[in-house]
Amino acid sequence: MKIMFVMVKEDYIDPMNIELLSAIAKREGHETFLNVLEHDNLMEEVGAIRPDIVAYSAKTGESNVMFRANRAIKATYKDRIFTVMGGPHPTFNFMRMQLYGEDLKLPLTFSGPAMPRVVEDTQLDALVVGEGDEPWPAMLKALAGGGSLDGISNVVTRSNRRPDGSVALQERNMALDDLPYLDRDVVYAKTRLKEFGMRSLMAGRGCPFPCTYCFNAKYNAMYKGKGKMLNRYSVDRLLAEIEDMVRRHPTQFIKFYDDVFVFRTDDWLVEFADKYPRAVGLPFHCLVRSDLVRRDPEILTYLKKAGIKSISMSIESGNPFIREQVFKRGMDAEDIRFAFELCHKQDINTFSNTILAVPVPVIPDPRDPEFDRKAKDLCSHLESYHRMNLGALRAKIDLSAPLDAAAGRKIVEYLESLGLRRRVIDYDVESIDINIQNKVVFGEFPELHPYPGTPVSQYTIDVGAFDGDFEKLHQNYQTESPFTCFTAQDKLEQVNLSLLGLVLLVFPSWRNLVVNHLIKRRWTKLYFIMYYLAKSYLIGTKIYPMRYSAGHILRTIKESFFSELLKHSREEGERFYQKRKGLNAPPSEVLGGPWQS
Amino acid sequence: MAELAGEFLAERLNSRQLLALLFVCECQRKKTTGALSFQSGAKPAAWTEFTDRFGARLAKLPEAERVYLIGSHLQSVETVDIYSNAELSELLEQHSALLAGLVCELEQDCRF
Repeated sequence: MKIMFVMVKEDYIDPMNIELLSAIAKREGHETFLNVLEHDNLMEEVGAIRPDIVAYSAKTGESNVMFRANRAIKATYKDRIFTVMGGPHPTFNFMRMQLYGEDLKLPLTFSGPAMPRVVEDTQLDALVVGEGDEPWPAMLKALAGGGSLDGISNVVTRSNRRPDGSVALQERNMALDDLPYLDRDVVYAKTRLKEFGMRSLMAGRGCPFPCTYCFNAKYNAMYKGKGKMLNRYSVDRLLAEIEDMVRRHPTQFIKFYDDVFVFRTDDWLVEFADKYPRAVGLPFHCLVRSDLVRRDPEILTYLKKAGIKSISMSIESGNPFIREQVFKRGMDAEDIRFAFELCHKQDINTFSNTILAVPVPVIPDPRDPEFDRKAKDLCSHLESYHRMNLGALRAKIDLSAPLDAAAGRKIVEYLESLGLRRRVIDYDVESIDINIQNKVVFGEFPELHPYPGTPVSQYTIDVGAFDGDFEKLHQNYQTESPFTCFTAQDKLEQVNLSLLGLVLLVFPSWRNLVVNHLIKRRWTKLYFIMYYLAKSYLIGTKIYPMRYSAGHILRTIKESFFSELLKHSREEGERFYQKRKGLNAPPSEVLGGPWQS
Repeated sequence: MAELAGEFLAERLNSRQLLALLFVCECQRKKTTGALSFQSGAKPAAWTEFTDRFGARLAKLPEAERVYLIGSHLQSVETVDIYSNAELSELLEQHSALLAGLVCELEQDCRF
């Protein structure tokens, strides 16, 4: 069979999902092709190649573009081409994705965090939920033989869809060594990645941590009882693939893209540190967690021995209330300080993500005539919603009685000790400060955007900052905050800080000038230029240092400038969701509040 | 199988039991289980260091989130499949006496 994979646009990271599925398909004796919607003519290529299967792997946001492409294919070719989509979007939204020839009725309620309440008209023939490579060989065999996919786990078709919205999943793949090497050829034949010196791959699968902005907690709940959560390639198998890749594609730098590359110093890491320098010997980058480094500092010793150049350790917030109560990071400031200091001692360049513009309550002003009520409401919110124990405060103050000045001061002090702050911008400044204090080499400071199905999105709805209308969000998440709890001035300062935060990592002495003056100005375009220059410098020299010809550098600057501009542009952003079909339910039944059709 | 019916032994354990199990797994990995003794009121240094480390992280978290976080460490750093009832019950039986003692220690510590 001929299989055509479709992706929306190129990135600097290998699309490992497509590369793996293509490798498996080739192993099974099929031909594979790639169409990049950004620069290829889809219908022309489909007409020329006449694929039997068109396959998509979709993240939420880009899924709409793929649906449009698929509707065009099905309108012309109908049953002559089988189309299927896997990836994060169908994994978490399959219950509301209407298939080709299907009249889907949504269940009235979804359990778990807020999801959009609209049916998506995909015109796909099948969806794959969870790990797509597991059912893929069985799917290919069935389709090649003209059989049905209905009995294959992880696969949703119009005839096997269960009314309760559940899906049968296979056990987790615990034998990663049996997988073929990624098929980079199918991607490099059509993209600039061929000339890019950094190659991405993963040493394993799985992340057990419950960070609320991430899909892993929900994913792990789906796979509960279906095998070990963390699975890795053997060191020999991993290195053999890298050696093969380096032989066939010019490579200067390796990026291990695992959510967490290592959890502790174990036999695997010791073996990797011993063999990688001899077998590969290229500088590399990986992601770890600060708390794990503090728990087991030898992790860094072995990574250094292996030849690590730069490391990602996300801070996510400098504010303890946000870090623990909103993001559930499970690490404290000392973990962060310890891990970053150790990286500096080991001469490992650090990269951190920190999320700004998080809706959190502020401490009321004691001069406010309504201070008494607001302070008590806030304490009540902390106890009832966050389930925080305010026993220490209640032991000092009777919260049922009117507050005098002394009691007011005690409450303010207590709330400050929990991490609450007096102004909205204080939280973000604290996040910038922790990056400066820990001498983070390169940092990104995106603003929080509520992705459907994540616990933090539900939180933003619960606290009244977001109305649950995911459709009005932009695909680009580095733009103005969507939350209603922020004023226009707050939003301006957040956008400016998200750009200038990186500049401050290069020029930390500008901190007061930026925080007290520059973020208040409407000079965002200038700040974008400063951000772009700082990012180019740090990424190119400290995080992923590589050597290129002058022509390649100029081309990369041009492409990356426009790519960054798009990420930060409100106007250019594709709408996150398009309203297609509403529910036959009154607005009050719509999860997250009413929406207008 | 119990797992298929959604009956996971791990979901019947509280945060103190899981934290005690995490400590035992860490000691087992470091091969220091034999050196653990709470006799004569003295606490092993490894236990003090462990409870200090987790005390700060867990103190402000409600029970459900404590359970999740400790479970994350058990599944990653200690590579225990806590959703395999057979694997978990074997561990619990193997160290039942030590675990019972550690849980008592945690019950007397206001951080947990």
